[in-house]
Amino acid sequence: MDDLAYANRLRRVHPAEKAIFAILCLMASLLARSPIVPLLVLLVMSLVALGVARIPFGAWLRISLLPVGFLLVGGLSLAVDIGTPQGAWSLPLGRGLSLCTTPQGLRLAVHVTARSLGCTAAMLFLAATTPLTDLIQLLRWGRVPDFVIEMLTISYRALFILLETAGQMQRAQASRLGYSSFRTSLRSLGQMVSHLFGRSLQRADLAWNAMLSRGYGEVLCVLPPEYRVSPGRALAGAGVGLGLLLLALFLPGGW
Amino acid sequence: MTGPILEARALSFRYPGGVRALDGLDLAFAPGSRNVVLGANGAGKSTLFMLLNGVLRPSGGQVFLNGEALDYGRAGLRKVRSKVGILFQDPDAQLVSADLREDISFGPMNLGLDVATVRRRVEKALVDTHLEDLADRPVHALSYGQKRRAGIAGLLAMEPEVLILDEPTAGLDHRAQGEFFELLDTLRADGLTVILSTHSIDLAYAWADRAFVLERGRLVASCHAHEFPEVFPTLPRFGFGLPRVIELQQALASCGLSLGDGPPPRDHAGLLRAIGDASLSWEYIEE
Repeated sequence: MDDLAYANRLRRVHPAEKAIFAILCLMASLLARSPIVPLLVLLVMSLVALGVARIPFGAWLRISLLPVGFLLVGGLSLAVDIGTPQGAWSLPLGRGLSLCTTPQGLRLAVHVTARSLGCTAAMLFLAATTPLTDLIQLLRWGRVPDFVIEMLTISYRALFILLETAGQMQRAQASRLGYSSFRTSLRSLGQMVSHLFGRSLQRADLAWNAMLSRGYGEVLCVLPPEYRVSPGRALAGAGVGLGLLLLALFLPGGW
Repeated sequence: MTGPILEARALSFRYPGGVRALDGLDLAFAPGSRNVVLGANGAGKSTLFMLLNGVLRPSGGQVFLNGEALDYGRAGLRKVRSKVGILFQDPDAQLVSADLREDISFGPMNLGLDVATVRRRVEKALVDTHLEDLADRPVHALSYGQKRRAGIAGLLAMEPEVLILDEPTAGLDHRAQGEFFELLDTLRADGLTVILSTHSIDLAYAWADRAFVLERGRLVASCHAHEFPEVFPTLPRFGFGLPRVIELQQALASCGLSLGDGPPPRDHAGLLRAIGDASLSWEYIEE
């Protein structure tokens, strides 16, 4: 996901453009009374991600698989009830109980699932086309307090260092058969985590010294990046988003 | 002759646990010079460097920048940190932001410069360190050598007068090392004073104008380039071998092959050239 964010065709687009587009679509999904609108959002998001941002289909599928799978399972459990049969469809389980659906339950399930799919697609689109550093910049413009921004900047950087260190430790352990059995795996993992903690403290110390030596004062100030705003594209994005939003507000809920 | 740009007098440092890291160091770095601090691991090189830019405060003695004692107030620290930049050993510790331009701008923004100036300096630093094509990649996608260069770019953007590099060649491949020294040479042409620490006696012999040898927090030797041939043979006492160029020269001399009367070559390429010149006068030894 992180790699995608840095290497798609919308990388250089002003993050505010992408954020406004995604947020309008997100709101459309949330406010829609008809499940068609969120599904439309899903479609639009996928089309823009694949067609405009040129995210490879496989990658788009991979990042959506987990949340979408989770939502579908959730939706299924909303649709299906265990109880005495009342609805249109039921599957007897014995002892007077059966797996059944009711029209209301079904409608609710479809609605909730569609709505969450739309929202997820909007967020995935933003996450896959906009690097976190750009998103943090957005927050900065949004007057989010400095310390939050600072924490985000440093944790995002530290996360990768931590992952890399953990990976190195894990490979070193594996090469000495640390993960050859369940028992040794548990022990290796425990050791790794405790070492990782110590190492992080050490690193924090080093990083602190390095920051001081580069003149760190009270706030982490960096240069705001430059983006090009294309009015046409911004308008198109906002237009589509608004259109979906209007559709959401005026399309009746029945189906 | 002008005085030293950076100087330590009777500098001592004790870590909070009571471990004495530095003990009464006296050293001075001439403006525009190339300096090497040699020392084994734990000799106190990194501690010395952090003292030289005010990250640590000495427990005894003083640091002087352009003849003025370091002032550890807010303004004083800002001044010394703007003039003296340190590249730390671990490039990951050095870089604060995942965005290269943001990271490079960190130092100059801390100096309180206006955005346009910072932007100009960041772009210049990217070009000087040959990173302009990588600026759109996240820092964690850069190679080790590239991260090193990114660290240097972050320092150059502060336009320091002294550049301190802690083991800058460790972990770099041959080509990256070559590029690194090319970069240092261009920087020095701009009048920058460079101080670097290393374990490599060969590097010190080949490159430095002045060498300082630290052992367990003490300065045990310091010499100018023209004194290297006399001083370097004494260094094995402190756990350093002879520079390989000297060893080879001695080996050649013991075979009766002299390299002529010119100044002794200081690096491998120089030695090869000297051998090429001198070999014309050598008589081939029959077995």
